[in-house]
This record gives sequence, C-alpha cells and structure tokens, in this order.
Amino acid sequence: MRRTHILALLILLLTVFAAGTSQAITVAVSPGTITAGQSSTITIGSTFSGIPACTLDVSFGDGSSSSVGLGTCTSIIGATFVYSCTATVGHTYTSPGLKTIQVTHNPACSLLPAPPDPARTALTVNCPPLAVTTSASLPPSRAGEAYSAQVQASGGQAPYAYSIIGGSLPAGLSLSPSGFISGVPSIAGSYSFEIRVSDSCPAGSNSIQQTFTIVVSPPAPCSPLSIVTPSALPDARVGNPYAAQLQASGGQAPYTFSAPAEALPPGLNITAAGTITGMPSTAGTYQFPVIVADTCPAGPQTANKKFSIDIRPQPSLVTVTPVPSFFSIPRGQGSSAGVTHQFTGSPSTNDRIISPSGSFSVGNEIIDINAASLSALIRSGKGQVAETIIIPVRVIERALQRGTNRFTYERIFSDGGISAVSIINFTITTDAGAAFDIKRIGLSFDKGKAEATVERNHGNLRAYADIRFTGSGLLQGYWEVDGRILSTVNQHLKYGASVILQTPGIPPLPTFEPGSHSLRFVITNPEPAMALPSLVYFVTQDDAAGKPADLKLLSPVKDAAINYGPAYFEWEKPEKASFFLVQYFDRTDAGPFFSAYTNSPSYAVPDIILKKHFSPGSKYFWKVTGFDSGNNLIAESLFRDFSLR
Amino acid sequence: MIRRDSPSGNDVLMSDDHTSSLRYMRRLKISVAFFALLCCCTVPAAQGQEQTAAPGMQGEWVRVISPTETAEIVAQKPAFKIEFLRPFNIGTLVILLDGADITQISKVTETGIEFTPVMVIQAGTHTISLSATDKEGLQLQRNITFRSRHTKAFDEAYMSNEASLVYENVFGKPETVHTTPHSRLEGNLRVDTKIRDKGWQFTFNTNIRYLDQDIPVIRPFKKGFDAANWLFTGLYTKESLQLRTNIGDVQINETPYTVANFARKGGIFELVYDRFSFKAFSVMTEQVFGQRGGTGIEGNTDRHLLGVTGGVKLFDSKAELKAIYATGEDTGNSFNISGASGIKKGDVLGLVLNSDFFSNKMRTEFEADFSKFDPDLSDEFGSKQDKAYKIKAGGYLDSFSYEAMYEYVGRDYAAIGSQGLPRDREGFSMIGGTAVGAHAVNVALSRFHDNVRGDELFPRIDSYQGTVDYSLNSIPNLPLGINYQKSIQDSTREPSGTSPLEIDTDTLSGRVGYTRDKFMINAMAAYSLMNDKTQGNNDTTSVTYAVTPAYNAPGLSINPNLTLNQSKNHVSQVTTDTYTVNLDLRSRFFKERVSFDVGGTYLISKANNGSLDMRNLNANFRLSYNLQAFLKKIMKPSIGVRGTYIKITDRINPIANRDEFTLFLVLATVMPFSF
Repeated sequence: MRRTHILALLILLLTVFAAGTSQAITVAVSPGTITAGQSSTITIGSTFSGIPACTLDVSFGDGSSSSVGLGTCTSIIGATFVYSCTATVGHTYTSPGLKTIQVTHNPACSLLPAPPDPARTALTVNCPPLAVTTSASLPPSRAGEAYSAQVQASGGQAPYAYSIIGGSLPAGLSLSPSGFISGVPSIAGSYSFEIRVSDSCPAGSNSIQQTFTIVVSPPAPCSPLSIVTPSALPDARVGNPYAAQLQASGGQAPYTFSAPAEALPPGLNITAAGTITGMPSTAGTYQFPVIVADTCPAGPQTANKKFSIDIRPQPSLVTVTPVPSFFSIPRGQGSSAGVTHQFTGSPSTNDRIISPSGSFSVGNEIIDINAASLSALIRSGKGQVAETIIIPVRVIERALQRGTNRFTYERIFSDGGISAVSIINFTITTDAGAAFDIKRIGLSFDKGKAEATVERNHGNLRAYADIRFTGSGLLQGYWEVDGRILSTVNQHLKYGASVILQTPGIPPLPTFEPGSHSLRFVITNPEPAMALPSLVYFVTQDDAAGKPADLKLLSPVKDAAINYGPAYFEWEKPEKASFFLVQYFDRTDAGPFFSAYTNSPSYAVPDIILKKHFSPGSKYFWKVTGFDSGNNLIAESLFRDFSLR
Repeated sequence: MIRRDSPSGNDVLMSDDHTSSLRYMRRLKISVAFFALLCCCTVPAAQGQEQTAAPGMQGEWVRVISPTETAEIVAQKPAFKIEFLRPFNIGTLVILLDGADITQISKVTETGIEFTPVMVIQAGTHTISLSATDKEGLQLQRNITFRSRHTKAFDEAYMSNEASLVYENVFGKPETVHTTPHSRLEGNLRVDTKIRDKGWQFTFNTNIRYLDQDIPVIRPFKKGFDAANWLFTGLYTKESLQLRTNIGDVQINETPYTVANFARKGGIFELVYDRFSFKAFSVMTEQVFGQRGGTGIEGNTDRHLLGVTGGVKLFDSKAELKAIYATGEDTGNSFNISGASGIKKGDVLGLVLNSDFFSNKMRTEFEADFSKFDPDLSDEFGSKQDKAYKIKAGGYLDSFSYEAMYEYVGRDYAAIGSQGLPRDREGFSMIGGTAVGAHAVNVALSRFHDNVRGDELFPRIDSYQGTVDYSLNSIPNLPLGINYQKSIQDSTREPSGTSPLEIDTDTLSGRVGYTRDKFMINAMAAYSLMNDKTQGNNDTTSVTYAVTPAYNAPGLSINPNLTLNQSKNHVSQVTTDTYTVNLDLRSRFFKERVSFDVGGTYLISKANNGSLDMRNLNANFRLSYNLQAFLKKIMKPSIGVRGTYIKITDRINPIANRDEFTLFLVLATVMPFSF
C-alpha cells in the first residue's frame, strides 16, 4: 500500500508539473485483475482550484456505488490556489467479469474538478477454479436393474456442461448434459470413461476432465415363477360372455400367457396378458394347460398349470312352489313355520341353486331379512329343500304397525342363470284363530320341580306337561323315559289356550332301576319347531315303603246315620297289622279334628269325646290307617262319610 | 281319563286312580306327620304345670310318677307312668295324649297306667288328659302337662343321611350302540338336617349327586359331583310373629296371573305378624340342573325374577287382601322348558281380595292385575301394558258344589312368572256338581271370546263349552262314569281376506272299574270328533280304548295296560292306529332277597295309506339279590343284572330299524346313617 501511495503522488506531481496549472480526476485500480471474491483498491486523484466542499461518486462496475471524500488535498507547488487531492477506496468483487470503474464529482460539489470528469478505468474479475467433486469410482450396479448416479463439479461458474470425451458408459446407461448417469445396464463388466466438465465463467469458460469407473455385476436370479389363480375357474354358461383373469407371481414381469388353442373350450381364447375370454358354445367340463413366461434378466422362466372350467348349458325355466304356501300365526309372540320349497324344471335341468337370504315384506317394503342361506340340488328337473322359517315378534309388530295383518316371506333362488322366486303368505291373527301349533312346553314334577329324587319302587311319581298352543287340532305324542315309550296321547285341543297333561298311573314312571333317568313328552303332531325339553329323576337304591293295602271299612256303611252315642266303628284287620289310627274329619280336604289309636280293628268313641267333638245332625268323615309292629304304614282305607242322629 | 276344567280355564287331564289319596312315607316322616296331628291339639301351658281338675272331682284320684312334672324331659319317646290312688270305673277311663285317644294302646292295670310312645314325639309341650267316672258316677278329670326335647342342647336335632351307590358294567352290547357307556358309576347322598330350639328352627335338605362314565354325558347331566337340589329353611316363631327364610330350590305360587308354580333356585323371605304378612323373593328365571348360579339370589332383574307380596287378613281371617308385585327377565328356555327365543322382560302388579264369610258356603275371589311386558328385548318395540281381572264365587251347599267366574285377560297381558297363561280372552264359566247317594253329577259351562279390544285387523272368535260328568257308585267295587263335552268355536267380524273359523268338537268318554281284593281292572273308552265346518272341512276323529288290569299283592305287582288309539283325518282319509301294550311287573322272592322287575312297552303304529307301519318293542328288566343279610344293617347292598332291549321294525323306512340288547352287571348299595 505504501508503495502505491508514493507512486500515486509521483504521478500526481508529474501530472501537475506537466500540466502546469491543469485540473483533472484520475482513477486507478490495483491489482488490475482479481478473482471473484477478492478485493481491489481504487485510487482516485482530483485537482481543484481551491479546496472545495465536494464528494466524489464512485461506480464500481458491478452495480454497486459509493460516495467518497476528496481525501488528502495538497497545494501544487508553482500553482497558485491549485490543490491536488487523493482518495482511496477498497471494494470486493463477487461476480466474475470485466468491470468498469467510474468516478465523477457529486453534483453538490462547490467547485468542479478539472476534466476528465468522469474518469474511468477497467478491472478484470476472474471465476474460481473449476473442480470435479464426485469420486472417480461411481457406485456399482447390477445388470438388469435400474441405475443412476450424479457427477458433480464445484468452482467456476454454473451452469456446468458434462460430456464424455473418452471411453464409454456401460450399455444401457447414458450421461445427460447435467452430469446425470442413468439407465438399466444390461452387460456385466467394469467400464471406465472420461468426462469433461465445462463451466460458464463470463471471464472465459473453464473446463476440467476426470476418468470414472462403473462396475456392473451380473443380474440377480429371479424368484420362482408360478400361476396363482385357482385351478377351478368360475363356471361359464353357453351363450354368455365369459372373462377370467389369470394371475402369476414370482419371476420378472411382464408375463406372457399362452395355451394350446385346441385345448381351450370352444369359443374361448387366452390373451398374452392372461385373460381367458370369449363366448362358450358347447356345454361340458373342460381341462386345459396354461403356460406363462416371464422376462427375468437372469434368463426367462416358464411355468404351467392345468385349469378346469364347467360350462353349463343354456338355462331352462325352473319354477318353485312352497308347500304349504300360507300360514296363520298368532300376534304378540314369535312363531316358526316349516315349509318345503319344491322345484320343477325341464328334465334336462341339473343344477344347484342358492338363495343367500330370505326377506319379509309388506307390499313392496322389506321389513326384515333372514340371513340364512339355502341351497337346493335339482336333478332331472326335480328338487326340493326344507326350511323352518323363524318369524320373530318384530316382524309381526312391524307389519301391524303398517296397518296390515298380512306379510310375505320371499326367497329368490338363482345360480346366475336360473332365477326362481318362492313366496309364502302369512296372516296374523289371534291365538284361537292361528294354525294349530305348539308355542311352549314346560315339564315338571310335583310342585313345579324339574328334578326329583325318589326311592326305588316309588309308585306315585307324576310328571306334568304344561303345553301352550295356538289354534285347534289333534295333539299326538307320547311320554318317553330313557328312550322307552311309556304311553301315547291322542287328544283334541281347542281355542288356542293351554293344557296340562299328566303321566298315567298305569304304567307308572319306572322306578325299579336305581340311577338317573330322563323323561320327555314327545309331540308328533303338530311337530314343534323347538327342541323338546326333558326332566331328570334319580332313583335311589333304597326301597320305598310298599303301597299300602286297601283297608276295608265294615261299619258304619257309607252315608250311614248312626246314633249319637255310643258311636262304634269297625273295619277289617289286614295281615301283619299291629295297631291302627282312626281319624275323624269335617271335610276330606282338611286335617282330622280327632284321632285315636287302637290295637283292635274297632273303636268306640267315648262319650266324653262324642260330646266334645261331635254334634248331632252333622256329617263327618272317617278313615283308618294300619301299621305293622315296625311302625310301617301297611294299609289305608278310603274316606267314608257318616252322620249322627 | 277324567277331564276337569280348572278355574283358570285350562284343561287338566288326570288319570283314574281308585285311591283318592295315596301316600308313601318313611318312618321318620310318619312320626313327624302323625304326631304333628297330636301336637295340634296341644293345650299350651306353663312347663311342668298340672291343671286343676274339672268341676266335680273329689280329691286326687291319680298320682303322676313320670314324667316329672317340674323338669323338662330329654327323650324322643318319653314314657309316662301314672298310679291310681282310688278305685273308679276302669272301663270309663279315657287317656288322651295331645288330644288323641291312646287308651287302647296304653297298658292299663288296676293300679295304674304305663305308656311308652311307639313313635318319636315332637319336641315341645304335651298334655296327657285323663278322664273317668268313679263308682258314684262322678266325673274324674286330670290333665298333666310336660315338656320334652330330643337333646339337651336343642329341642330337636337330627341329621338323617342316606348314601346310595350304583355301579354298572356292560356284559355285552351291540357295536352299533354308542350312547351306552361300558361302565358307569352313580351315587346320591341325601342329607336331611333339622335343628329346633324354642322358637327357632333350621332345616337343610340336599341331594348330592355323583356321576362318572367312560363316554361323554348328555345335557343336563354332567360328570363329577353336583348338588342336584338343596333347600335351607330358617324359621322363627314367637307368639304372633313368624319369620321364614327359604334359600335353594324354592317354589313361588301366588296366582295364575302373576307368579304360578314357579320352582327355581333362589330365596324367599317371609314375615307373618298377626294378621299381616309380607314376602320378598328373588329367584333365577332359568331352571338349572345342578349347582349353577350360586344361591340364585340377585338384587337385579338380569335373568332373575324379583318380587314382593303383602297381605292382611280381615274380619277374623274371613277375608284376605293381598298385593303382589314381580319384575324380571327371562330367556324363556331352560332344560325343562322350551319356548320362543328372545329375552323377555316384564313387571306385574296384582291385587287380590278373598273372602269366606259363610264357612265354605260361599267363597269369593276378586283379582285385578296389571302387566308391562316386552316379549323380545332385541327389537325396537318396547314393552306393552295391559290388565287382567277375575271375579269368582263358589262354595258348598250341603251336597251341592258350585263355582262361577268372570275372567278378562288383556291382549298384551303377560307375566314372567306365569308364561303359560292364555291371554286375549274374556268370558265366564260356571261349574256345578252334586252327589246324591251313589250318583254324582258335575256340569261345567263356559263362554269366552278373544280379540278383547275389538281390533279390526283380527276376527273375534267365540268359544262355548259344556261338560257333563256322571258317576255311579251304587254297585260295590264297580264304579261307573260317563263324560260328555261339547265345544263350539265360531268366528265373527272377519277382516277381508281372513277365512272364517267354525269348529265343533264332541267328546264322549266312559269309564268303568272293578276292584276285588288285590285285583283291579279299569276300562275306558273315548270318542272325539273335531268337526271343521268351514270350506276346509279338516275334520279329525280320535278314538281311544284302554284296559288296565292290575294285581297288587305283597311281593308281586303286575300292571299291564292295553291301549288302542285311532286317529283319522277326514280330508286325507288317512287312519292311523296305534296299539300299545305296557307291562310293569315287580316281584320279590325268597323272603324278599331276590327281586325281579320288568317294564316294557310294545307299540304298533299303522296308517291305512301305507305311510306308517312300525313296531316298537322296548323292555327293561332287573334281577337282583339282596346281600343285606350278610352285612347286618350297615348297608343294604345288592348284586344283579339289568338288561335293556329295543327292537324297532319300520317297514316304510327300514333304515330306522334297530335290534339291540344290552346286559349290565349291577352292583348297588344304600347306607343310611343318622345323627
């Protein structure tokens, strides 16, 4: 810098001496050539007649400018009132190129400098050095697999331009002008090539070269190829357009499908994309092979699979008739209806038809769905399928809510070609008017119990069936114990009410086998849709007391009127009887009001008892029970009535 | 068969039985039952106090040696001994124990009386009454009151148990039989426990069951131990207060419109004080077999029935007013009940007023019930409210009995505790009967109609029924009877598209029986025609003939039964005949050491159109030898064989044919033990 100043002064002096008394602006830059990003010093000289109040405007040539003062001003020797000023300013240039630096006086200056004004000078700003930043060994690739890599440069002035100046890229790869290598290499090997990079420096384009290497590995083996579509293709029908798409997996897409033309069903063909299409013309079951090939880089693979297709004949008309087609059901409770859907078609019809669901409707409005599927096999035009239709309460209520007591149940049977509709009509009515049907069966022993434990040979075990029914009809059924039919029942039931049936006294419920026994009342007509309930009773090993023998009363005879006193009662003495209990009652359904124990088969009511418990003219009942010496009941009489005069 | 209309309008079918009340009792039960009769006549008195003699007594005439009159006697059969102090007419002596005459079974001598009860006397206060006349004809009277208890700690305490065990092993069975196990072991332990002291009483009864076999069991049976049934009862009685708790297998029976014959697992609490009564209950609505669901008592209605009742007796207990409330939820299906599926929920409130002011000459019953019921909780429809009424009067006037009833059951009326109740009916019924000499006549008339709200969507069906039953008992041991019933069902106001209904049903049946000593024979014939008078003309006829001879003697009981059921459908002209022959034979030999029992049924069913031709023979027999003599009285074992035979011949459907005989070795024993 010091040398610069000295040089500037000398130049100024020379200028002044040479010029005598001339005034001028001078500008000089040092260094005259820099690289972008460096600074340069600009020296500005100016001559004035006097010392003005003045600034100088400096334009640096890169779009920026500044105002500087005159700097140091000194008078010029030999010139009166002439001053020479020198100022310096530094500036950093960031963009390359040729820059023109201009200095001129500020219009506000009080004195004008000597010309030239403005003064100019030039500066050259060069670009930074250009370099390739990408490693010479580019990432490896594999034949058959997509590849990409970016060659990058730095320095100079973007944009850069890339080109191959030596060697060659692997087959299948290419280099873009922007340095992007891409493509699918096809041949394994190690490839070297030279790339030149040129920049766009305004000061003059620079370029640089570098050699790169790409290693291409052999292609990876493909996964096994197979056809994944199930062998059994969807059925087709003669005269109906058909399409089925085959799928392959594994290997390398794209795939190519093929099949021997003579093996395919008449009217069908297969595309390379694997679509079996066409319009079959002949019914039957056909089997044919399909071959698929892939495009595996390691080598094409093939796979084959045998397919079958059922081609059904032209659909024929099938009608369905529900039997029965009409039901009367009671309101306010769920019901069930057994129906058989009977199919009739032409004798050549052999098919399986399906109904995925049934629907309950009022008019055209569906009010509930039965999601149970039903299928029927039609052979030689005939077929049938039975169904138990469960009608929940909500269906009945929804129909009534719509102001009607009728609804229908509909099933549509189809197989894609055949379509048959079965319609059953329901009428809601009262319990008495509904069809004869069993609604509830409740079995019990005495006191409503569902289980009983009795001694062996217990002779008085009774079971009851409480049956709630609708409508009227002939109830048929039987009592069954452990699978053995005990007795049959045939009885007309009326009015849609309830009935209680009882097991017969003879034959009694079997109690001679110890252990558990299961009892049912099996109804055969009307056949109930519900499972039949059962009862359980257990017979212990211990014997029940034997049935007491009949004890015969002798006197007084039935309905006799006897004297008020003495009242004498007599009966037969059973074998083994040790003592007796004679009891007296006001009513047969009440307990005794007086009892007496006797050793002999007779009893005379004492007067004191007669007066205390008996009244003349009243009617009474008496009964005798006999016991053996072990206090076991062995004989019992019936009630007999008498009155006292 | 005898048909009898119950007050609720249901038909009740009862089989003929010449003994109107037949009871089989164990020793202990006999003693409790019979001596309970004695105790009902007990005159409460202070313990050990003598009562003063009746007027007319001249000084002491007896002296009580035992029971000691100031102490409480600990004995189940307390003996008493009385000494005569002076002569009197022995023939006029009457000895009463708790009101029952025991004179003839007491040991009476000229010096005194000795008596030991032959059966256990119930713990409590007892009275011995002595009466006689002396030589001068004066009345002598003496009452002795004493108190007895069975144990020192409790008035009464016992635990009676009986263990029964049966083991069966197959000798041979067909290979086609897969539902019969090769071996099976089954046992039952019956426990009856009672503790009573002063006003408190606790009883616990249960049957513990055990089952094991080598193949799976079918519901409701299950393997292992289970409590087949159990019941705990606690009772406290003091003067007018009575508290009772039942937990276990309980039964609730209020009215047919609220809770009827509802036997389930749960609990009942009852309080009776003077004229007032209160009851609360909580039971499972599902009938379960075995121990499942704990005690069955819950505080919510989830699968339970909760309820309360309150009552008060008025006018000297001649009238009773009662309120019943029950609420619950039920699936409607248990192992012994099958019905419509869907969870049901309902409440019912009933008010009942009964009266009997005229000593059975006229009893009246008024009932009003209100229900709220939802037959299926899963749908969008909620519960519906409705009501039911009943007015009934009946009684006995000399030899005449009568009953008249008006009944209304609403269209949507239903109760969880009485799901078999017919609804949507209104009408009346009358029953009358009389017995004059050997003749007895009963007449029943009824008239009901449905569609009680007059809904125009439905017809109204009127039902008329008349029944006459006549019995003749003039010939000894030869009771005769005849029954005729006429039913008419007729619809009116049929909406458009609804077929009319007109059905007449005539049923005529006759019965005759003969009893002589051990032999008895009953015969019955019934003819029923259901005449469908509409265009459908779906007439049906049912004819039944049954002959039931029976021979019952100690050691031998033979009960065969022959029945012919014939039904005819007049539309299809199909007649189905079913012949059924049953045999029930029980015999004992060699001083009852050997027993042989047979039960079998042979059934032939034929239809005249060839759709049915089946023969079914099913028989079981058991031959066993009693080994009790060898084991004294520790247990009562037996060894024997059991066989089952089933032969089905179906000439229409031969695939159903079966011919299977299975023979079992049976080892069984029973061990009673008590504390």
